[in-house]
Amino acid sequence: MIHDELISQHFADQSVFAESLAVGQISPGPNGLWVVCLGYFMGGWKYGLLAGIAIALPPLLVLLVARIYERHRSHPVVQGVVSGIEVGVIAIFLVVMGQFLASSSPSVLSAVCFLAAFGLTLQKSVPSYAILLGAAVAGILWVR
Amino acid sequence: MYKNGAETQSIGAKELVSVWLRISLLSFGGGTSTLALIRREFSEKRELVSEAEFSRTWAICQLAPGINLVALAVLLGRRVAGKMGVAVSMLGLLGPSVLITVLLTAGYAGLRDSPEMKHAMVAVLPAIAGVGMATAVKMIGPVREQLLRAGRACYLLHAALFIAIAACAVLGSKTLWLLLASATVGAILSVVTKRQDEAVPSEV
Repeated sequence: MIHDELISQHFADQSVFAESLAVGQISPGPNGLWVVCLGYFMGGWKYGLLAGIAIALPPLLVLLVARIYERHRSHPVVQGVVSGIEVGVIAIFLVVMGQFLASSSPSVLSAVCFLAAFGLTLQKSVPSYAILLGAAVAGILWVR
Repeated sequence: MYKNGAETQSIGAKELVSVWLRISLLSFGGGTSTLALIRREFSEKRELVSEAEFSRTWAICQLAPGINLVALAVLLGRRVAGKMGVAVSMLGLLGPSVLITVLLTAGYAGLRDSPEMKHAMVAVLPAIAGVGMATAVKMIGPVREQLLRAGRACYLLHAALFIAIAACAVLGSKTLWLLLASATVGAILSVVTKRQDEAVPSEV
């Protein structure tokens, strides 16, 4: 959805999106804090902090969701909605990541980095921030 | 221990602040490490919430909009310290993390035009795609098992939904519409497959 709202409407470009994801990965806290980085790139520290406040508000709806879910969780339609959303989210996420890969310039380095990151993430032992830092170092050393 | 069969225990504001500050400052490595730290602090170390209650709470957070881990902080705060716990938990989790993220981004912004950083980003971009795709592949496993338990027809229909949503996303459909379509089709499939189960007598 962030991709739809900001990149498709040219408020930010694909490379800023990628940079935000990368910096967000090495920051502490939940994954979603990369939108703070995106806010910073779009309008400095004020936008960064505003993004931080904005992402804090929607999760408050969980209080309402929890009340409704506890009352109806065994209903088959509620279970169907949940499994439909789970399937949809995974499909959309895969497509967004595929578009990401397609936007990077094709080279031996990018193929190796993609495959290494994919394999290391599937093995749960390597944290994602270490993978991205490793890729950054490989990128610098490759040119030298 | 949990009193009178309850699955949660109460906690004071000061202690709750210190728990969230510790989590917020130590949770480098993304959502997985943050979730592991929250579970350790709340369920294992301090026994504020039982393991079963923690898992139930996490499942509910998947249905809420926004960042799931913030929703988890909201619900856990509410359960162990009431309304005050909601505010303390949100500020405790997000405050330090957001400030550190802004500082890290400012540091990066100062270096982003250097040739070294540009070379680094050439390799980081495909690595992000690799991390993201592997994460999605790992997410498929539990959903697949759950759908297979519901029956082969249910599994195949959801597989078709997966392909259709992916195809529409490639063609540029809006994410919000795709999510609404997924939820609607999921609800219809649950009714259809339930009727089939009721129509076909059990083999046992």
